[in-house]
Amino acid sequence: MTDLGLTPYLCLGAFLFACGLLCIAAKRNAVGVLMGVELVLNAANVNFVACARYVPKFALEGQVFALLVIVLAAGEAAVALAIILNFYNNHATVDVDRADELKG
Amino acid sequence: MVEYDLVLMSLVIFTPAAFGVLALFFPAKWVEGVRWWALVGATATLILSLCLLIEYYALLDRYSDRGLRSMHHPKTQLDARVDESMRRARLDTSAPQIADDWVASVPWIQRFDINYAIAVDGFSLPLILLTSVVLFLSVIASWGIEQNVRAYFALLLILETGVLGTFFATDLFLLYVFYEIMLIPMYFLIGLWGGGRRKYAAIKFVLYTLAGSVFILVAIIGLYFTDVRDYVDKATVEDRAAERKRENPKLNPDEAREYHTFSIPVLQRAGQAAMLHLNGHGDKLAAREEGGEGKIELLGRGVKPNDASARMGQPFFRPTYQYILFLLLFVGFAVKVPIVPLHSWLPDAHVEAPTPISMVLAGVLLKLGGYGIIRLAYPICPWAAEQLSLALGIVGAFAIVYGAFVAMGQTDFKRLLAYSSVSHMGYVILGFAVWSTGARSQYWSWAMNGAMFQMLAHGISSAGMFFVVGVAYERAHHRDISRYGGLMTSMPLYGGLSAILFFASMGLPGLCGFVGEIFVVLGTWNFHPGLAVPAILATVLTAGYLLWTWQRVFLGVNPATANYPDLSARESVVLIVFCALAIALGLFPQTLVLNWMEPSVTGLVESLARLKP
Amino acid sequence: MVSWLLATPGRLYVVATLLPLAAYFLLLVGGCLRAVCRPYAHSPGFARFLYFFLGGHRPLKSGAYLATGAIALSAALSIVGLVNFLGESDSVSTIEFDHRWAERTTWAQVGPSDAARPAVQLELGYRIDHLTALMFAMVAFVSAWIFVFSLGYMADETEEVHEDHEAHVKRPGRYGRFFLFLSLFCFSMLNLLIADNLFQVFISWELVGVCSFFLIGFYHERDSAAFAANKAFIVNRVGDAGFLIGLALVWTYFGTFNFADIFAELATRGPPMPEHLFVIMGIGIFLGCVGKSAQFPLHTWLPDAMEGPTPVSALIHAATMVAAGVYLVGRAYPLFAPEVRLLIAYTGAITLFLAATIALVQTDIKRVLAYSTVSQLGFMMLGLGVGGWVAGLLHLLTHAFFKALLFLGSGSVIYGCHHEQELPKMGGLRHRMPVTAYTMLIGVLAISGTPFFSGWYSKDMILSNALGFALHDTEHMALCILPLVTAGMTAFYMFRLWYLAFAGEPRSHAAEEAHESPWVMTLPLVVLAIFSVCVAWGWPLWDPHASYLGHLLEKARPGPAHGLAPDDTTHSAGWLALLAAAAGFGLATLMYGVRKFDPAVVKAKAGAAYAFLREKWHFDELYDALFVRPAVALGYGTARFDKRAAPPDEAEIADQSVNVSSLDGVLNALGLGTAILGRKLREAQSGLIRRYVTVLMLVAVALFALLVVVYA
Repeated sequence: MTDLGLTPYLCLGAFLFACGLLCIAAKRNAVGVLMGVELVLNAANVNFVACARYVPKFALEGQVFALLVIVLAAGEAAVALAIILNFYNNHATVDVDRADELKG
Repeated sequence: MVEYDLVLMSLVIFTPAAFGVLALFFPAKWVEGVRWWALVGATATLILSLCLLIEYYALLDRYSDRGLRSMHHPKTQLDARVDESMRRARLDTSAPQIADDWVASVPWIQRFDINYAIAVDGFSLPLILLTSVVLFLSVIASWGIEQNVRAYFALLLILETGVLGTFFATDLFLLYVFYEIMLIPMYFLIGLWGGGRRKYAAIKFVLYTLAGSVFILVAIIGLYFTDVRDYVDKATVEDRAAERKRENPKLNPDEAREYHTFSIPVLQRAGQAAMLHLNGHGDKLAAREEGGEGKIELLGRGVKPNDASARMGQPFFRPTYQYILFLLLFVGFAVKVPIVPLHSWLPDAHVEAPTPISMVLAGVLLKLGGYGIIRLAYPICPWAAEQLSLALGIVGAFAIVYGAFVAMGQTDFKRLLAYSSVSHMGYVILGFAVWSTGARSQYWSWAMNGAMFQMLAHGISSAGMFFVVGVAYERAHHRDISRYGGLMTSMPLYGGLSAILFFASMGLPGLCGFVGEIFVVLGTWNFHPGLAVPAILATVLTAGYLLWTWQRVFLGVNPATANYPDLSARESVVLIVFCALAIALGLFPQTLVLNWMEPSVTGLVESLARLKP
Repeated sequence: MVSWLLATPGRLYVVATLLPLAAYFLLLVGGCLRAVCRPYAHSPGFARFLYFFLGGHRPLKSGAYLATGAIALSAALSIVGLVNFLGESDSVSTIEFDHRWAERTTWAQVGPSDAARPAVQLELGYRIDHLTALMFAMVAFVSAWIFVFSLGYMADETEEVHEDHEAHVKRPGRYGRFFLFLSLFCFSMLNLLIADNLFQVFISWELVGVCSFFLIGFYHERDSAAFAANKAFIVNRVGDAGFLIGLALVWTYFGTFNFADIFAELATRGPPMPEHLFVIMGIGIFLGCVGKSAQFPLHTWLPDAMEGPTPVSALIHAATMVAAGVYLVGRAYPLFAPEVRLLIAYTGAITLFLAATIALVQTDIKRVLAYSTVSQLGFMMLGLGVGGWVAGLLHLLTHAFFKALLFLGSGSVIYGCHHEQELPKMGGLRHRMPVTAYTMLIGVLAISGTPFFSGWYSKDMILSNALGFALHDTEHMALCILPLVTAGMTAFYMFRLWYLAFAGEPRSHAAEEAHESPWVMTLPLVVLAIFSVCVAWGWPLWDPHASYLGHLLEKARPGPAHGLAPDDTTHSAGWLALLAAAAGFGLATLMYGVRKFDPAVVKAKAGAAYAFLREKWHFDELYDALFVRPAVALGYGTARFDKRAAPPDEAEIADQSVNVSSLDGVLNALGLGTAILGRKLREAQSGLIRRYVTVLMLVAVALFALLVVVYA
């Protein structure tokens, strides 16, 4: 199997990132936004792992950081879901546009 | 072994704050006890600062030449004393420091060469004494404060520490810290114990002063980033370079020798060298103890003039930078003086503040501005000051005339006094500005001494006048000039003592206001007649508005005021002290003040005047 | 003590000067203590004792005696000093003379005293010469008698409750305070005379000003007195501002204020400054004299100053303070360029004429005397201006005696008539108060220039100088004609005063009830009358230029080295003046003495001119419109420009509207602008997460694009 090189992985990462970002920007459902965030984080993970494979300098760092991001994503999801639940309890909705109490 | 001078000076600075903090621990019921406690604190500070005066006098006297009846000696200048103390500190750290040079320095934040460096000289000492006297009297005047007494006196005394510290500091960073410390108590004192619009006044006061201190901060940072290694002894620079090398061996030798400091005397030398350089007399620079005919010893021991000249490429030595630094420092402190058009906070703050705080504000805080200008702006950026001297003189003369006219149009007694402060402080700026050189520098010297004396005199007369208003306000509960009248008949003692302060403020010979004004006027003509004439004509206006006020408040017959009781014992003590000071300073300026103030002032004038032949 | 005085007898004068100051301080401390103790008058203790020791509720008379004693001692010392001085002045060499009669000390010093630079020290010092010695003796002597007179005149101030009939108010008596200010005044005046430098003169100058402020405003419950006091001080301040300009010039170019040093420099090297500055300096110093001596155009304060008690008018506004201006012109004579001297002469000539015309129609006895004072001061200035140095100063000395006499006489009349000052309501007083009437007659004769009375000698000298000057420069003929005309007018209005007050029949109840004053008041009149007659005598008696006093003054006269030519005199002037005075006397006798013409008819015929004079040439209105009101309006204007009126106390942190009509408003608008900007920016913080993310994304893209553009 021929080695594809770094580029396709980076493109995949970029695609995933763009999807995630679009998801965050467009979705009004808080759970949807959270999924967008997961996509963004995983886009980063793809890049890390790819770099770990192809860039000798990052052999170790890339994998360590990928693990770190997975842990971070888990924590983030837990906290975010807790917030969303609480918000739902108080406002009976998960529409992020309704959560504007902190506006200036 | 701790130095005696360090201890005494620190005691003067921190005694009030210590008493103030301890006052908070009094039981809330002991209102009278807190008052006496605060009075003890203020008295202790006053006594300690008088001790300081005696010690400083002794220092001058050690070097003075009795035959010439003069206290002048190069070695008693602040610059020389600081230099000597730094030199000794390096020579042998185990040897005891000289404990009577009234310069002390303790490292504070060594990473940035920030020191707890304090000193007294003829510029700071008069204002230190003024501060402790005015605060002492304002504590007595505060007896009538009924609400939240503990907090009031605590803040008042902490304020005193802030002011005194600013006057003592010879380290820019320390000075800035004290300058800001003073701000907070003042905000609360006006904002909590003030009159009807006290919040507006307090916020205005803080915003203006903060705006000013931002200017100062920028200037301080700008000064810190100047490499002043040529103005410190070569050996000191090498010592420090070696130490830094040990910490970080990667540094290249030139970087290691870079010397950044907050020390005011060192920066003053650098600024003066900048003036020589910009005037094209860079060849006159010489190292300390290596000067010769026509040379000016500004560089540190062992520094080669050529090396110093090579480093004149730094931005600090460029005209633009000098202008910017000077204006930052000048404007920053001008807010405090205050200079038209930055004076707008003053009438509000004065009117809303309670009487004792107005006294402190007029008597002491305004002097911080003048002090900052003459301690920092002029010596550190002399070139720009000289270039702008005519403009500064115009600013001063304009303030004199403008303040007088605005005062004439006031109907509120306190506000009138606030504007008269603007007018009187104009003489201070005018006195600083009238730059002249050579043998004519004598005239500048008169004006500068006059300006310093004017600060003292204004501190006494205006603080006293605010107390006068306070006494009237306590009886009438209003400050509308047109509703007074006839006070001279119902309160003869009050009228008589107020008359002394009114005339002191007007500049009558024999009273304190005269000395400063006449010195400034006599010194100004030599610089520019166009500045002296408005300053002279303003004396007519001053007499006009003060006498008109006098007539409306004290003379005539007014049934509404006919039954006012005359001064109580406490009030008469305050007023009599103010009057006695006004008379004493007016009659014996030489003995009481000039003797020990003037060597420093004249020394500064001479050191600046020689930079421009 | 004695040897200390014998070594430098000039110190006699210092002691004599400081005595009134000591009295002042004693009275001040006493008064202060009494006021401080007053609240404790009814509680037992030391304060109560002290209060009653210092007089209790009634003013203490001993304070007044103390002050009078001090000034009497001063007068005695001054005469001892004068005798000593005259004895020594011809025999001792100049250097030793300077050592014995002059001393100086440093008051303030800036910079080391060894430095070879100008303007190192401000000094205080004294220097006695003939002018000082004579003036000092005159001032101390006249003042002492005025103090004695005041003991009687102010007696009603010793009451516990004094009723001021003009202000309709009851108040405690203020006997002590009167003598307090009188003493300070005497100190300042004497200090002015012994001063050896301009700076000390200026200090005393201001001090006499402030004393006159307090004395004019002594009845400060009366609005008119309060106004008059302010007017006097402020008008004087205008003059003083000129004086200060002169001082600044002297200091800048001479570097010293000492008269002897300045004159020496002038004599050897001439003025060390450009010619025009020398003239400005002279004008400046002269402006100070104009203010103090109430010369045109600053003469308006003196007549109003008659609001003060009459002894004050005698002391300050006739004999001494107003003379200070003339004295200074004489003292600083070499500082005046020829142009300035001409200005002095014209100022004097205009003033003497102007004041005399106003005096013709005044009906208040003190105001007539006030205008006659202004007029006589004009004579002195004229004399000095035309080069008659001795003449001007001799007139100063003689005038002091007879004008003090006239004022005290008028005080005695006012006292006798229960504070009636209007001439038309008097009449016939010579029968009821003969001592006052005939001593005043002596004064009238002296001021009119009757031969063998002191005024004749001095006025004759001034006129002959003026005539000499005018004959020399015929374009200045006015300088001779105006005083001649005025000499006639002087005789007219002075005799008018005397006839109206003392001749004929009483024209009011007060005049009928009048009584002679007690001896403390008449004794000074008699003494001053004697001096008014013979103070200027010399031998031969009929030669006005042989006056002994004149000869003494001659010795202090600045020499030709200072640009002063010998007197250019013409004796025939005396006859012309006598003729004019006789005409004035005759007219007054016809109108008021034997009533040949009815003054009312003349008044009706003169009409507008009479009203114009009555209103004092409308100077007050003119100055009010020209200076006072514009200044006050400007004050209110700038105050409005600086800050709009404060909102009422309840209004909290200022309203949010921008107001740029005042300086304060502009500065507040800056702050307000910041606040508005902040409010606008706040809207960007919408609280919509999706918007934040979008903005984040777009910014990131934009930054990438920028990166690409920059690096591509």
